[in-house]
Amino acid sequence: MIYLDNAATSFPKPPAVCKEVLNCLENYCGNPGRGAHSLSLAAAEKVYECRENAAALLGCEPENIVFTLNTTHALNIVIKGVLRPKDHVLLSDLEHNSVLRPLWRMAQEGIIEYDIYPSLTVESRPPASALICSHISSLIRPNTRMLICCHSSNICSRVLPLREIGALCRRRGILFVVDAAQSAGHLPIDMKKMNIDALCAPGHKGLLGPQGCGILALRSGVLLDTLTEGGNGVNSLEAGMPDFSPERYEAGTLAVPAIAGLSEGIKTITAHGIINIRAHANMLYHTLYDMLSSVRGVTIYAPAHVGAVMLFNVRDIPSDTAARELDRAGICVRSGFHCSPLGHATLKTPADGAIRASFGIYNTQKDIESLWRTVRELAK
Amino acid sequence: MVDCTAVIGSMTTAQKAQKALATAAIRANVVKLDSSVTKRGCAYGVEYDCIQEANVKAVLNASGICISRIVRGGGYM
Repeated sequence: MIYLDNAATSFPKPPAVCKEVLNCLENYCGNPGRGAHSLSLAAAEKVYECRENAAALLGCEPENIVFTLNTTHALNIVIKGVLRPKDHVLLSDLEHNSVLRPLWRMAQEGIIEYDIYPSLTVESRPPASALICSHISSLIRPNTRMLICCHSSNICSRVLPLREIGALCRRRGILFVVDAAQSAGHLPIDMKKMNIDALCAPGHKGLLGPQGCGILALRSGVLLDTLTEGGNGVNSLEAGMPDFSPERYEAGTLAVPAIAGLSEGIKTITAHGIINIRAHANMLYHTLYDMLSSVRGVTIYAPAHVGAVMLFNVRDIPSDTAARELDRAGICVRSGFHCSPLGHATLKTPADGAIRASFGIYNTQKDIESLWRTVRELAK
Repeated sequence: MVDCTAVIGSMTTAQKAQKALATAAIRANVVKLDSSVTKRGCAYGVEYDCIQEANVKAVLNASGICISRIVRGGGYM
């Protein structure tokens, strides 16, 4: 089996991740922050280790790493913890439904308004980052409270200029929220240098952890309203949630085995080096791009020619049909719209979407060649 | 050795305090406080040798960690 759906979830997981999940379940899976016995403290130590590893990777403080269920959960905490009636929000034209849907619902209910800024500009003079910031500036209103931006899209490899957008948001007093679902573990991130107020990331994609754990990383001083309330092992005689991170946002028992695995995933990423991981993805991308470009009838949707994600179609074969054929050949890719209707509209894919191949650290040139050979047969 | 406990609050902040103290070569353990010494319910702190009290205060202050009070001779479970 050749797995090329790493943008959905990375597979396989590093052996150290699998080993640690099992080790946790067998040896130290107490409830962290809920007692003083050795098993609870051992679990708490592993959870804190993961906060430290994540903080070092993202450029923030360990206590500002909040564990969530996934990226969508983290985004909902931020969106619903900040926005108030009559607020205005800006989002890019590549945002996932995890951003669009909560905003759309709040807009439908008359609570907020939002505008969509274009993110795909041709690299030229002025630079793309300046053009994007110019578009954003033209849409800012006095009541614009939040700007949400994916670092890189889940359907193309376009990387948005976080540093420049972050600087603009800081100057204009707008909360800068980054969806790092496709970039955490793939691209360098420094929350301080990029002026990011809140960053949402999955544990199970580029960070190589198990499913069931995501990350909300907050800038020091950012205080959100809570999305969920409940027990967290601190100030338990008080009815209200505490006002400090991370416990304020972590109601209920944490997914300790997933967090234990995530900690090992981040260690693996750090050992490989983000730059090397990026270079490996770019090498696979260039190989696949060159190969698919040579196949008559293949359309590639590529606003950027680097990265870990490639979107394409084969002649007029519906993407779901083509993906089924690839699956029969032992190749796992994802078809359709990838929960990204905004992005598909921006890239002008057909009515039935497109096929996405996404690479991970364990993919090889051989995997790419297998995909190319099967696509070539389909295109005949 | 006489044990002192700095009352911190959350488990996470107590762990941060322990790490900061370890970096300063001060040994400390994260402990859950006895309900008799907390007013707001469950809370955590760090236990250390009382002889280190001045150093502990200095390190935690430099790390931006607030000590709500110090309990001498235990007070934890």
